[in-house]
Formats: sequence, C-alpha cells, structure tokens
Amino acid sequence: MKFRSALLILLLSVVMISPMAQAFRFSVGGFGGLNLPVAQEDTKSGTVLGLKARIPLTTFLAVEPNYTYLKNGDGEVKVETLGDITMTREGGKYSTFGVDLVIGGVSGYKGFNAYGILGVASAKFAKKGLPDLTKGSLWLGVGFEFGITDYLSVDFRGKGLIFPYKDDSYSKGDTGSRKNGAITIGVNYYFGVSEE
Amino acid sequence: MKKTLIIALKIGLGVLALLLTLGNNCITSGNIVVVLDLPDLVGQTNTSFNPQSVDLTQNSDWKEHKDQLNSVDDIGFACTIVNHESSVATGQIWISDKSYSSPADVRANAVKILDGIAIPAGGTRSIEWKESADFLSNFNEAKTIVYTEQFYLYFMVAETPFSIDVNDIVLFLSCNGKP
Repeated sequence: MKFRSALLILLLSVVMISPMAQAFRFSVGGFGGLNLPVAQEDTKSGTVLGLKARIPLTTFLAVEPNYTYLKNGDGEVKVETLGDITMTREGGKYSTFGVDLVIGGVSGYKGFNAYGILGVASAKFAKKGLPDLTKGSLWLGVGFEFGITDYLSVDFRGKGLIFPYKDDSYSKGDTGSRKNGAITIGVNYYFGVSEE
Repeated sequence: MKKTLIIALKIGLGVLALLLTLGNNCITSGNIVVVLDLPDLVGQTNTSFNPQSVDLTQNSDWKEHKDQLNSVDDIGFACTIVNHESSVATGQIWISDKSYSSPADVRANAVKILDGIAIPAGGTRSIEWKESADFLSNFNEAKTIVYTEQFYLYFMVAETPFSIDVNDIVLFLSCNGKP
C-alpha cells in the first residue's frame, strides 16, 4: 500500500513539475530483440522482451519506467576427454524492473529522434539449480525513434545491462558483473496532445 | 535547452561516479568455464569407498584466472554411474574439504551437492552438465568449499548397501573474473 501511494505521488509529481504539463504526453510501448551476453563462456545469445512507458519531463528529458526480460541461450563446452562431445548448460534469465532517464529527442512527434539512455533497475538473475540473485543494476544505451504519426512510433535501441554482484563468501574476490547487450525494435503509442 | 543540458551533464557525471564506485574490475569482468576431468572410481558401502580428490591448483584454466577470481557462479557435473545392486539406487555427490573413509562420516559432515539421480537396478545412468542442474542443491555451501581449491568429492548412493562404478567424471565450474 505504501509503495502504491509513493508511486502515485511520484507520478503526480512528474506531471506537475513538467513545464509541458498543459501539453502532457506519455507513451506506452513494447519491444523485443536479441540479447547478447558479453564475455560469458557459460551462456550464448538469446532473446529480450519488454514493456515501457515514457513520461517526458521537458522536450529533451523523459523518464521511462520499464520491465525487461532477457533469456540467455545455453552455454556450450566441448569436453575433449569424452571424445570432443559438446555439453550444454542453461544460460539463465533476467527480469528487471527499473526507470530509464532518456536524454535527447523525447517528444515522440512525427519524424526522427535520437537519444541516450541511462537507467537503474532491480534485476533478478535466475538459473536452474542455483539460488536467485537480485541486485541493483545499470542500463546504458542509445536509441533512435521514427514517429510515423504524432501518436505512433517505432524505435531501435542498443542497451547494455550491467549486473554487478559480490560474493561475500569469497574474501579474496572483488565485485564482478555479468553484462548483456540488448538490440531491440519497439513500437510506442503516445497519448496526449498532438503537435498539429 | 541550457538547463536541460546541465541536468543531462549532472546525470552523466552521476552515472560515471556510480560506475567508478563499482570499480574497474566490475566493468572488465566476465565468466569463464573451468573443466576438470577426474579419474574413474569405485564406490562400495564398506570397502573400496574412495573419495575423489580435486586439486584446482593443478588445473591450467584455474591457475590462469585464480588471481583475478571474483566468484564461482555455478557447479555442474557429468558422469556415468553403474549400479551393481539388484535394486534401484539414488545417486548422490557430496563435497568436503576433509577426507572421510566411510559413507556414514560423509553423511554426517560433508555437503550434499547432487541428489536424486535414479539408477536402475543392475543398470547404468549417464548425466550431462545441463541435467546435473536438476539435482543440484546447497550451492552456496558447496562453493565455499571449492574456494579452498583442494577438496574431496564423494559419489554415493542413498540406499545401503551400495556398489557403484563412476566413470567419465567431469566437473564444470563457471567462474567470474578477468576473462
């Protein structure tokens, strides 16, 4: 209940502080694409799916609450002593809830826009047989949006997820991370005022 | 416009500070898989009960990465178990940093890492890396033993008496560190 109240207050605040409050627009959208693990021998590329909403704060700045699901492909290792047979292991999956800050062309009107993305998220990594890991994570990336109309747009994004973790049971170890790249295509629908 | 740029700059600096807080190691780390081939062994209830000693310091992949190791993220096995008894056996793998000479001592002191591998009476069961995750348990306790680098694996059966051969044993460790 407290969380819902806080969320409501946050959303109302966002609307009220926006200089565009009188022309308030927001969008909802979905996206999907390719998930590329970076420097991880125990996984292969997989898929990414997600949902997002965009709330512009100014003409150059917006926040995007989002949910992203990334599935890694199975890792593969060739075992020489068993006649070079390939053995696999499930690569694991992430589900992240977070907020991205989008800087650049965020209005979503008809035409071309480009922007940078900085985000924070609570990410859960799950892999069969292992305890789930939930950590604060970072998203960094760029995006290009093509407004087909003032209300409908398509975007292409490249984002990187940094999932840091430290194993407290290993005193000699430092904070490490898993990193994944996500190349996605998305569709967004805008609600609110048209530019025309 | 100017105000927005200042905000964007502040956010950028904030993110940069956050990345620096995480540390260089966090940014440059990756996951590697260390594969260890282990000798075949025989396991019987009271005789020929042999622990499988593992010395990671003798493995070239481990040696190459151990100084920059952050964590062991996954433990997996492949093996073929032959059950010589006339009843179904439930295969288990236990781990400890100490050597024990009887199944009772292992059950009392070691950490059970795999359990529930059904082996038919007088039959054979092979499990691969992926399948071993179906039987994996106590990962957090087991990895602390792996960090000692020298430890023992015990291949046993839940039922007594038991008589098994374990062949083609492979241990897989997924490790986070400098790739």
